[in-house]
Amino acid sequence: MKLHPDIFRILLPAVLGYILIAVVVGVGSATAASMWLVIGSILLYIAIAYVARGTTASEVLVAERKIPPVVNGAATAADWMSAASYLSMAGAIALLGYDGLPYIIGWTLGYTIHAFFIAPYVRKSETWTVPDLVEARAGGWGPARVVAVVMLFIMSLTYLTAQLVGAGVVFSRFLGIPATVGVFGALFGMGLYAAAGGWKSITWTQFAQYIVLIICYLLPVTIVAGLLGLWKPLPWFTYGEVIQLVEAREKAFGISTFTQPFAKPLGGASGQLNWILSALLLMLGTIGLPHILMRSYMTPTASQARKSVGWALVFIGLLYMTAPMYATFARYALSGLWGRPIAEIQTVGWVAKFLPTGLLRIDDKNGDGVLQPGELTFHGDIVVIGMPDFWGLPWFIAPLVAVGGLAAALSTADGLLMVMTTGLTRDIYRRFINPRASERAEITMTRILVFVLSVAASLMAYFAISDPRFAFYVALLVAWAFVFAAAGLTPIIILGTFWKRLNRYGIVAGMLAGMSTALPYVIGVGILGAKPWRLGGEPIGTIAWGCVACAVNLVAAVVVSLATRPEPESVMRFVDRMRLPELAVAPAIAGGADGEERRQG
Amino acid sequence: MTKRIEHPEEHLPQKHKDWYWQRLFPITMLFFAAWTVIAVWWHLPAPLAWRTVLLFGNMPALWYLAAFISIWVGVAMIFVYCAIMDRVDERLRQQVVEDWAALPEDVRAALRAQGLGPEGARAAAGRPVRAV
Repeated sequence: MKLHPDIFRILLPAVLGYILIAVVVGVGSATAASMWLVIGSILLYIAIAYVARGTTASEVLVAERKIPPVVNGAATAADWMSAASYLSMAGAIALLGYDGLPYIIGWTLGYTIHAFFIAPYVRKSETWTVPDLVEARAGGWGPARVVAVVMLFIMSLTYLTAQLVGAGVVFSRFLGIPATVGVFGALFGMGLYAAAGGWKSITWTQFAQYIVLIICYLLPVTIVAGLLGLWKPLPWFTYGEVIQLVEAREKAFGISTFTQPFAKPLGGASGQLNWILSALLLMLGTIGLPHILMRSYMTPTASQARKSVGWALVFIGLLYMTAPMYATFARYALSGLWGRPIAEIQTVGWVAKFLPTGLLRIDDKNGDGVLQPGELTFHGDIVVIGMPDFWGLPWFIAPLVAVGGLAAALSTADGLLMVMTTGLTRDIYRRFINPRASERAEITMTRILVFVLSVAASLMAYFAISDPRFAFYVALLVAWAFVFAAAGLTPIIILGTFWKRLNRYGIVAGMLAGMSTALPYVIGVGILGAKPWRLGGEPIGTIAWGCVACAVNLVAAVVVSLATRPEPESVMRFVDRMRLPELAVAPAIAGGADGEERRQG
Repeated sequence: MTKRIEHPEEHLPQKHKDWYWQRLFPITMLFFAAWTVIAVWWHLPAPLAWRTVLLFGNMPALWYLAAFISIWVGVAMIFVYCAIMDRVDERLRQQVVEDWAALPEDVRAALRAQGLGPEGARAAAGRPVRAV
């Protein structure tokens, strides 16, 4: 892997300057140093984006298809791991125990089937965007592209709004500024470097953001593991000791234990079927998310696209295997307060710090002055945010956790932003409105749209934070984005390669039927509070319902395809091309930038 | 004059396409079946059968299965799959070179332009390939 000379000319001094300024400022004021660590990190990302900026359509749209698998894997991991993964997932596990683990397997094992069924074929299609791929597979039929763009927007805009809310919360939690203001800080960073050079600059920025976020995530918890004596040899194998201690406390107070299965609801329902279907849906949704599908376009070959998915899961796994450890340590710290006088607890430093924030609540329900388990409630975000405070770690750890959280939120947000932008420029403007648009005009339009869309998403995030009821739904929207992805895109992308008989009508029918099945249930059960349906006697939550919608998409696509005429020979050859490997070292960009050759149907 | 082909693999003789697909499909389905074990099947009996089992002396097996083992088995499966598919890909390239004379002229020209041909053997790799 050849490093860009500007990495040494510009980036190295920038990183050293960032650290030096933090040290110098930190000597004077810890608060000022914390501010610098967070804001300086955004400036650093902007510097990386500038160094790696793209100037041609291929650089802006597919990073020239020259990203090495390891770098693409790390960028995919950063693209993937949002504020929800970084801040909220460990919190969900701390609250739900075993019933929160579908998030772990659901948000990781999707990558395994992504490598088997999706990544090499998407790369080999040599299309430019997901709607471009859908249209090519539909024999160049424009309506298929339009429906795919609509699906893409439903998934990405809801997800992006949630990410910006997450970024605002990170600013708010760590810097003490209003989250509504923090949203626009995120907009500034994200919009600037996304506009700088499209996927090329975003990829290299995400690569850096992954390094930042994983270091910042692992640092506090591994220090705590050291304080608890768990480095024998590695805490990931030994934190079971702490689980035993937590469960001993829970048994002593007569409540359900941390690892007890199916004790708490997930997505509005509980039970083993709901647990399995929720995990399965998160896997199926993972492979249908457009900003993850896009990453397969960026490696030089199909084989490397497959390997890049493996690296992505390695990098994602590092965080995901650590989240349950965070949850365990937080639960251990919090359960240590049970049975103690409330007046005494309120003098504990971190309790006094978090009580006014609402992240921690004490309610002496029985009025005996002693804290019982049911009298202590906590917000999931405290698990990661509060870790340095629970264990009295040095002051600079907390802002580093914030820097990591911000990296996670921004890296996902810019990927989503870019997917939507290219959805408008390449898939609508260039395809339908002005096919003769020059490369320069397309890039300019991309940059303008990045800003327009980031302002629109920031405003949505602003209103989400301003209205507590809407904020509640935004938290759920992250999971629902997976429902929509599984219901809208996953089946037809897989069928597109593995079943030649799939045709344009089947593709469109599948997408529409899947989304029509998912949306009403999510709105009815998730928002309007309707009673969930039961399958095999067990209630099915909104997340698990995505599996049903995914199956409906699949069945509709198959039935409609069989009932209508097959695609012509040119599409069969396109499918052959997707299936077969490159026979030699192919040029980085093969095929016309327009993909006109494919639109023959 | 030969027609310029941008994607020569689209125009390979059907026997090569079939040969590749007859390997790709079962291998992928086999790995998919294995994936269902770590994604679904072993989580079904676990809540009952593994409720009291401890790994490493202290880690609840039920917990660890979902929180650690599944992830890393999934990672291992991807890299094993990659290694197998790379070998299949390589074997296909070798077969195409061996069958060079039977390929249409425009396909040969396109492959030569990309660095594949009998003259330089396999220009891209050239390492020995075991039978698949």
